[in-house]
Amino acid sequence: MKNYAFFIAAILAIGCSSNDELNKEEYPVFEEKHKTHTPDLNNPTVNSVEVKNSAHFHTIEIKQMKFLPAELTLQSGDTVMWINNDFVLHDVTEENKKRWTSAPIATGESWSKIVTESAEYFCSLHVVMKGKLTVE
Amino acid sequence: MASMFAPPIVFAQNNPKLTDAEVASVAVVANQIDISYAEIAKKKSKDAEILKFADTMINDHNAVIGQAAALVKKLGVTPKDNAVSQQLLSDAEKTKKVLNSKSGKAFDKAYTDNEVAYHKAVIGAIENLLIPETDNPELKELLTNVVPALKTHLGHAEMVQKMLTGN
Ligand SMILES: [Cu+2]
Repeated sequence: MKNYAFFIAAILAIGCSSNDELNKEEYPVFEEKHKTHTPDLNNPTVNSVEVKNSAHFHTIEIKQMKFLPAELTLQSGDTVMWINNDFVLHDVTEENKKRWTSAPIATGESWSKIVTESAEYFCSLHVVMKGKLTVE
Repeated sequence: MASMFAPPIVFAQNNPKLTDAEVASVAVVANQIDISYAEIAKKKSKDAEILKFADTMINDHNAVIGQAAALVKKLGVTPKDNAVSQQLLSDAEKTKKVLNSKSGKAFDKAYTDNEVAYHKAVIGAIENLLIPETDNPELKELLTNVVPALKTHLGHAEMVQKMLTGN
């Protein structure tokens, strides 16, 4: 399960290279489930773009009822992927105004979001589980 | 606070030596009991926070039971009924009678107080009785992995408890 999730994380990092040319301002709420993503593995430029993109791709593992890391500093437009490696359902929900939510994430699945502003978030299923994103 | 409930501390009192098959039975029963409390809450409460909490209890405790079921199948162990499981069930019957006799805010308070007390008791029992008594390393690991979820539930129940007294 765990290996699967990290494999997917790697695939998404590669897959996101195709979005590199997009003007992010036009796609401020771009987000997706990794499952629907079809990376172009035949694209010969994949490797170089992957390296370039990795600084803007972050994974947060959900395990033993914690977001790991619980606090993350990133740049506007970076992609964050939460991976549920716990044995129960969790979600990722903006805490103060409920501006966004992942909806429940099953064991072994993940959810990604392009982050453009700082946020305090929590799991609405386990309200004491909290995390923080700080956009520099 | 929990005086109206039979205190679920039977584990520590009897301090019996449990086999792994008996530990598995206790683990399943303890989770089933919390699901049965949540089902009462879903019928009786109108408080949104309590209803959400009860849903989480049903989901999570079912997930634990699923894990336990998969493990005992893998180990070829059949959970074995025992004095601790039976005592837990008979205490739960008393608690369910108390819960069923209440309604409105009195029910919300009784349910939440019991969730706090029950999770404290189960966490104590797992850490101090079940884990030390378990021989099988995988069963030990499962029990160890369940504790953070139970602690999160306890924190959540305590938050709801505070919210109710603030009203
Ligand atoms: Cu959660």
